[in-house]
Amino acid sequence: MRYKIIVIIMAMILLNGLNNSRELNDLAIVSAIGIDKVENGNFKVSAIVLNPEKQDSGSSSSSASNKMIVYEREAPSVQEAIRNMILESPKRLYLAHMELLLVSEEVAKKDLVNALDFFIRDNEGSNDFLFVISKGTSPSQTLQVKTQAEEIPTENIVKSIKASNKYVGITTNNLLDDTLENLLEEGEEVVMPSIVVVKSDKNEKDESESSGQENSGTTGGEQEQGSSNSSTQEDEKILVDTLAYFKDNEFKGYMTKEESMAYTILRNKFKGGVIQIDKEDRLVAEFVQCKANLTPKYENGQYIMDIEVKGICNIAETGKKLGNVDYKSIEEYEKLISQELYTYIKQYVDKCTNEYDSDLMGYGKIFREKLNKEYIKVKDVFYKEIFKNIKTNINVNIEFPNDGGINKKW
Amino acid sequence: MEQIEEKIRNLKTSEDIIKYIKESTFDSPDMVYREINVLNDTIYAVYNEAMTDTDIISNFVVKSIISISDDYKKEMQLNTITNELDNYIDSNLKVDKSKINKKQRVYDNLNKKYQDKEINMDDIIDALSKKISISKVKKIDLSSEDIFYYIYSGFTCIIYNKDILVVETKGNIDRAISTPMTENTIKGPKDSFTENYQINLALIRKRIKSEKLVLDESKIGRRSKTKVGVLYISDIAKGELVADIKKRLKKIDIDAILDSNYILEILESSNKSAFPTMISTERPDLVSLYLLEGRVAIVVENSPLTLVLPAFMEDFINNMDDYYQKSQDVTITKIVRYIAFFITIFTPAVYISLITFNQEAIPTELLLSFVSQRKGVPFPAFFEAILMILSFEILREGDYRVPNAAGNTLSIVGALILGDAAVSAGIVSPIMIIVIAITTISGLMFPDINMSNSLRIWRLVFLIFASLAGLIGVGVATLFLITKVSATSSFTKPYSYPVSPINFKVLKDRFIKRENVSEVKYRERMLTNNITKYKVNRSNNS
Repeated sequence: MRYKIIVIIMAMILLNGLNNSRELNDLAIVSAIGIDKVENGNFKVSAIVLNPEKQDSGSSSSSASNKMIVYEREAPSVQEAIRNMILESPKRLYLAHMELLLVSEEVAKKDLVNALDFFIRDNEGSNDFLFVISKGTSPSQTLQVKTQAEEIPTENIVKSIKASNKYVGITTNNLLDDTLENLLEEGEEVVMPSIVVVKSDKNEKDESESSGQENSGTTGGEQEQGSSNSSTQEDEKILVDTLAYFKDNEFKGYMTKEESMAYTILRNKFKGGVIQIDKEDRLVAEFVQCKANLTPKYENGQYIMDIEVKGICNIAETGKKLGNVDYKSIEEYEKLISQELYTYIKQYVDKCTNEYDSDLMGYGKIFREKLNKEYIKVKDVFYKEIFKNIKTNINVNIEFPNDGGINKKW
Repeated sequence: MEQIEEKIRNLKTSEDIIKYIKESTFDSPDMVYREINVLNDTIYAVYNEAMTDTDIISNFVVKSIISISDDYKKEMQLNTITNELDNYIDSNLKVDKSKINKKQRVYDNLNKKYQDKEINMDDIIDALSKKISISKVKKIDLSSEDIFYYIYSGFTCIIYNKDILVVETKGNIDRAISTPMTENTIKGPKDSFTENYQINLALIRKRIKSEKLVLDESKIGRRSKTKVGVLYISDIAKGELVADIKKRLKKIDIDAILDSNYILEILESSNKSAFPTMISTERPDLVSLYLLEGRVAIVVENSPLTLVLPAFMEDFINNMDDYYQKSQDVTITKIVRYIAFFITIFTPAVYISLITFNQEAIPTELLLSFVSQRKGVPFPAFFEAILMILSFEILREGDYRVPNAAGNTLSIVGALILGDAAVSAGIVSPIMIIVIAITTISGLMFPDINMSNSLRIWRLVFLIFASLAGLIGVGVATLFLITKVSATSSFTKPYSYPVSPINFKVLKDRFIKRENVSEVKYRERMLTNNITKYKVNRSNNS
């Protein structure tokens, strides 16, 4: 009996018998996936596979191209495309460390749910990747832009989106779960951060050359790019852009900076940012904290939404004078900034209800949760009739607790 | 056996006994049979040359015998003289004895002194036992006691007729008290047990100078006849525990006890877990501390390690040094030790399961670094880990055994092979070396070799489970470990105390921080019924 057990255990060890066991050497770690649509309706999936160098190879000259491999495949479904990459790759694609899912505008417009479905169901997949739209360019191009700070573009994109969310406040770092929640939940709309590829100014003469490459990249059909050395675009930059908004899970367009900021503030996803007034004197305020409180009301047949925004700011620049700012001007600044923020939010809400006609504020959800009785009655016609007529009261209250922060002695 | 007893019964004279000893020892050349003539008779002094100090024998034993024989001679002469004098006075002077007062008194005294004393050599042994200037003297009976035990313990047997007197003339064949070899402390006492039983007892006795410290001694081992002393403090230790230990010791029937580990193994035979359930320490201060807690110590002759029982798992993790440092500082040390305890068991297993099963649990950048390090390593991670553990164990074992002179060579070779060369050769990845190194170093934090060995076994168990089922396997192995520890008991006491059965008071006072010596007035109920250490005297608490 004992021998049997020993034999079984030894066999299990030596054959690495239990499933799910995989050596690190056999994994191709995917850090980002881009999904695009080609003319015939197929998905074009490009995956960035990390290919770390052996450390004691000595030379630190290993460039980004060595550190990552880009695989591209076209197939009617995302799953099939990813599977087919194994035909090319010596290792199995391992998605658990995926950090970024980049979709083209095309996909966002037509086939977002289809594209996402695979990632939701894949049991090995990661669920904490950022879900980003590639503004203007095809994801496969965007992913191959050579970035300066980080050797791998994924890192660069993910980190800059996270940082932008934290310090600029015009984007969100929605992970898959948040996006799904927005997709599936009644009374919510999807909002996605976007990135844009811009050409560097100094090497404009190469533009024609690189655009030629772009063309071949997008129209090349089932082109395989095992070693993407040549196709990595030079002299291009990736910038984080404003939020893209959806209606009924379809991509519609991009918000402005102000609207993006208003969105993050109203969703309480605002972690920090700068607000600037360019009147006779420039005033730049830096947010320390900003919180919004949305309370729905129903009075006399009128649906009302009270938006209460409270924030704390520091003076970043006054443009007028050095030194501490006196109490009166601080009061004035508070008013100015509050007014400015009020405009942002007011315009944003107006635009959402009228122009975009998309419930980006999540009104539906708020009414459903907090004013359920009234909401149930009008559930079916909420977006048709009521949404546009919701009266919004906005109250912005910004405080400046510090007097300009100049206490250095020099 | 009966034949031997018959033989012993038949021994009548000293010559017989000498013959018997010679026969029994096959005329061993290290036996010395010294004949000392006393009057017309011979006294034999028998001793083993190797075990004895010949200076003591010649200075005290032989001298004493000679001096006593001189006494006898003088006595005899005096007797003769007085007798002759008496006769002379009686016959020749014809004086009334009562009138010769002065002389009479002298004679009377002399007479009184020697009158009833016939010159009788029979009691020379008794006389010797009273006169001899050696402290340990005993008259033994051949039929009831083993003469060879005394001979080989370094005693000299003085044989006259059927009487045997043994006097201790032990040569100094023990090393001196030295500093602890394995259980070092930074501060605190630096003496440690030696191979000498008496010295070991003395080291404890001098710390607890109380009549309540009871020694119960027995000789175990048919051939080795090793002295085994059970030490306990009579009003603290639980009676049933002491009785139980004595009973178990009495049952031992073994050829020889060469080290206290023999006793440990026999007493522990019911312990099926890898963990040691008895403390073996070379620190007398630690033994004293445990005795005062109500535990029982077993001192074994020829062994520098004294056993203490019962023991809890926590005792092996903690260290005597704790009591010699500031109690607040010890808290950090203790936490570090508990962490090391888990590191040494878990690290290789967790690493293996992370890189072969649960890669999603590693931060991406770390994973990339792992991947880059494992690039070009042809073996599965598990095999790599086993290889490294094996070579570390070989190195460790070799380091223990190697003579000091070769130690440097070993460490250089070890460092080169296990460090750079193995990585450059692509046999192992650097991270694996880090993992195994931190594991091994953490395992060495525990001074008890039995404990570090059992941790080593558990490390392998965890590794195998991890290689089979990843983090789930580690979870299963953890359950297994917890079950095993909880099921272990040390002499009816739960091994995992005070964690399970949980005792919050003890946990609070002892587990994380070391109790403040001046604050704890109570002993632990688990170990003793007499829990009051001392009464709190409020007036003294200034």
